[in-house]
Amino acid sequence: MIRLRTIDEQRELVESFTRPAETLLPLARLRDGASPDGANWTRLAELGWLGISLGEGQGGIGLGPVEEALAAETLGRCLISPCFLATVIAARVAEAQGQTELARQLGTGSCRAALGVGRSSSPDVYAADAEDCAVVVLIAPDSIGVSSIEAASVHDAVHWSVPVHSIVAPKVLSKTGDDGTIAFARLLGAATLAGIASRSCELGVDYAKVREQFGQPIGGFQAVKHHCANMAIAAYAARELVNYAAMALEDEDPEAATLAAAAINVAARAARHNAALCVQIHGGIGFSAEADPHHFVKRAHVLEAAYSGIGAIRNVLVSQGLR
Amino acid sequence: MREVNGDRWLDLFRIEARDWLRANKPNHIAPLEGPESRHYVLDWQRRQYEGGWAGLTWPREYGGRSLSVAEQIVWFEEYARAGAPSTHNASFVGLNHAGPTLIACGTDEQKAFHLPKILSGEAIWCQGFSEPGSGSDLASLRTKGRIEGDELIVDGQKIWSSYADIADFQELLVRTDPDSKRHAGISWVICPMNLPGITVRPIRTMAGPSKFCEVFYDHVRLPLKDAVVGGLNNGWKTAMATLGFERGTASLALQIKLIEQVDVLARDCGDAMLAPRIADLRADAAALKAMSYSFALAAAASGTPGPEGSLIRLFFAELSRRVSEAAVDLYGIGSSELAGDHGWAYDYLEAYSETIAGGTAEIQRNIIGERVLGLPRGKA
Amino acid sequence: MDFELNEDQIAILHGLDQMLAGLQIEPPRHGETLVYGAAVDSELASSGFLDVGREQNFSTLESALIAERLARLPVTVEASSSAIIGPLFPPDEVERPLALAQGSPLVPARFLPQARSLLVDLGDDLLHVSVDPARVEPVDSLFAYPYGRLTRLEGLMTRSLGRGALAPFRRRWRMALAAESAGLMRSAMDTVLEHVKTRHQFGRPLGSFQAIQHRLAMGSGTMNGTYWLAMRAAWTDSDSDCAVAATYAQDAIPTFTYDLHQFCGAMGLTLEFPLHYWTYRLKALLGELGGSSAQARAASALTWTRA
Repeated sequence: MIRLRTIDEQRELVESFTRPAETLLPLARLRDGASPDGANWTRLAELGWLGISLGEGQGGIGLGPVEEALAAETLGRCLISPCFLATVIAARVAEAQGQTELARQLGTGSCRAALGVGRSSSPDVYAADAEDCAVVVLIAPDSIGVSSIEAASVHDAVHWSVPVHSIVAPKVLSKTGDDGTIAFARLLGAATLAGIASRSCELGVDYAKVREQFGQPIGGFQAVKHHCANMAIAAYAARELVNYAAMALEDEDPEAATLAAAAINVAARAARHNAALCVQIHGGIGFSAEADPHHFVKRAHVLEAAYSGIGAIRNVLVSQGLR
Repeated sequence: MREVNGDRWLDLFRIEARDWLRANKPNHIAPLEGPESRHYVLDWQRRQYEGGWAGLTWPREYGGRSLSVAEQIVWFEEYARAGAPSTHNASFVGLNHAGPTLIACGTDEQKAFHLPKILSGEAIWCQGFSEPGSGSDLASLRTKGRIEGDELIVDGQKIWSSYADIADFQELLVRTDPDSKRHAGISWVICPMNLPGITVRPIRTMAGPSKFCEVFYDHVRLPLKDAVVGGLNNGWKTAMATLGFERGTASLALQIKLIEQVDVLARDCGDAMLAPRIADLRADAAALKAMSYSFALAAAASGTPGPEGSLIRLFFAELSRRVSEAAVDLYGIGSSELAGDHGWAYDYLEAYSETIAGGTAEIQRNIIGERVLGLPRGKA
Repeated sequence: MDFELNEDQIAILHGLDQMLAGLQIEPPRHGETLVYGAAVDSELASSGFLDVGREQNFSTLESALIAERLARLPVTVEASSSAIIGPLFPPDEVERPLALAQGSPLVPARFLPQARSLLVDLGDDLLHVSVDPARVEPVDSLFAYPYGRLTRLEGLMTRSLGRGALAPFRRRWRMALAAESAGLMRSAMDTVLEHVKTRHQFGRPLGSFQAIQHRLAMGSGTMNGTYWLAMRAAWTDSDSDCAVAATYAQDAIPTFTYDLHQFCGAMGLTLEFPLHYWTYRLKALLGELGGSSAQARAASALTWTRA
């Protein structure tokens, strides 16, 4: 059992640390379809966001898993570029492998990482928002790899709220199978997905309060109200489990790895569920590219894919950590 | 006396709990109805009390141990692992509703009289809230409490009163202001179940043995001063406190038990098709643990459970159902677990009541939508 | 596609309805979970309705229509297996009532207390056991079918029907599951619709609340889906259609029964309210023949072969 405690102080710390997100990461920036935060990358580094996974000696500010998860959730709510997650994970991998220069570059923003999606029968990979990225991070069920990207090997592929590129056979720079690092990567992915679940719930609820049909706000209709309640439950469950798993990692609890795996399972399903209901509640406009709900749907899927998909996410838990 | 640090203390507490449970839990399964069930429940409660394991978080002055949520959780974890009798039995209302309500709203005399009896296994409580015409719409209740001098005369009918046939006391909601219609004018009163004028009729349910009862009140005379808890005509607020406990910490033992059951399923599961489904159940059980533990901690700190209790309660109820369904798929209906009273078949059908009792899932969603999310009530 | 019943089918069902009306069937008394419809059983046996599937001009579709209709009754009777699986075998060789089992002849099986035959899917063979009722141990169960089990086979006539008999047996078992589920769902739904029209809370009928309306609408879709897939399977009598129909039914049962019980509140949990007559049986069917996951696997294997 973890040491039972509240995380209010840590929450306050992260809130002030991430406050600039309100103005720096408005949802509206996603509408033109370009790299959402590429232009601002140096700014994100200055704010210290890219260094959250680094130790104090490496340019970080000595945050622990709880703060890291809270930060990832807050920024995840704003649909920060997946490069953030990739960079922070790559920095941790690099630091753990003694590649201090790479870690420093990632933390200071001079090197940007893209979140990769492996392809089972090909050495090529997909990478989200990969333009101007020097490395791509591939998260497999039992390892995390950081590979270099040659500019010439980057091709346009599809657009899923962010551009998703195809990268031809990137070269592996480092790889780890360390359980702690994998748990960390899962925790941060879960936190990001929990942020998506929360924000899409809020978007749906806000819309239900404002949009009127049949002479009243649609949130007064029971079916819509119950959809909102279901989203609230899913978001709450995801958020609480992420925090609990983070506390377990902080406590070096023997259950920590299993909890991190559980967290990404619950958060991935919550994100999918809530993003879908958010579209539903918005009605026709929810389906259009002019409104924001579709970004949450797409981003949830990109993140899920980066963790090898919901099937792999489930498989991890099939026998792990049973007493 | 504690001279060890917090973590070490908790470890020792856990070992003590485990050993005691192993040595003292009943050897035979609880009879599910009738006078034998009463005896069994009271006996087990008394044993826990004598062993020092009853009312862990209750105030010391009423027989509890004034311990923290952490110890309570550890006890429930070991309790579930030991396979001790389900806490969803005739002791449930006393320990999880009436007791906490008295602690929050009772007079010193009421507390001093009733709380020790609940803890020590001398009294069983039941709940008299719902009526045939007032289920989800509890505020429409009609059982009357007419004041006559220093007595309260009760006339009416209650339904779904679990264990009323073996209970000593009932937490009863009556309408004491005859001119009131809904929430106003309701009082929360203590009703001794042996008074003349009370008739109890057990109802059989789909899970088999009956614990649900109908209760009829024909000119039942209660002592006005001793009976009313939380103030005359203030019963709705008092009842909301009670239901708040039900939606929050009362279920903690059950939630922990469910989490343990999911682990059992996971260990037994060799079926490749079921494994992903059970993986999801494990993940959801972990989420339930995270929510319940942090909620219990917050509720203990503030004294009252917050509105998130509804979220957790609903999550728990639906997870219970999915766990039971998975168990049926895993073990098969043709297994020896078909027999009704215990094992997965019973839990499977019991699970139906989880999303109905204490406020249906639909009502909970209304509450979540309106009170937690701030959505409008909606015109008819 | 023709969804209308033809004249023969209308006549058969009309005849069946008249027969049932004549029997004045009593549902179980308060507090009882199970009544075996012995009167219905003997009328069915002598009337030939269960043998319709054997007749020249009729097929499994007529059998399934009959099975679905009988499953709507508040009493339980072994009809689906007799009507749908029975015609696979000569009637004097495999006597009804039929009980079915998978894996072993010694597991609890539905209808074994009444059965004359137990058919067992052993995986590599179909076994037929001639049942002596004196040898059947009743199994106490909460699910509203009579269950029994054999503890030993010694002295009972057993016959191997061969590996080749397995595929048709499974096909027809799946068909029967789907048809029976459809009838059970129909009566359960009718009961709840009546309830939500008459039960009032908050000053209005339960059925006027949107969440309930929407979920009942979805339940109606489920019920109709189950019915039509069952009838299609009965019409084509194909392995894959039957597996699909059974998958759908078993998959749908949890949510369907859950929602119906939710709308009946605490009353619906009691044995005084009729919903359990049908939902108990639906829950029992849920786990049969390996449950929905086994059916789904079979459906995919039978429907799609590797290129």
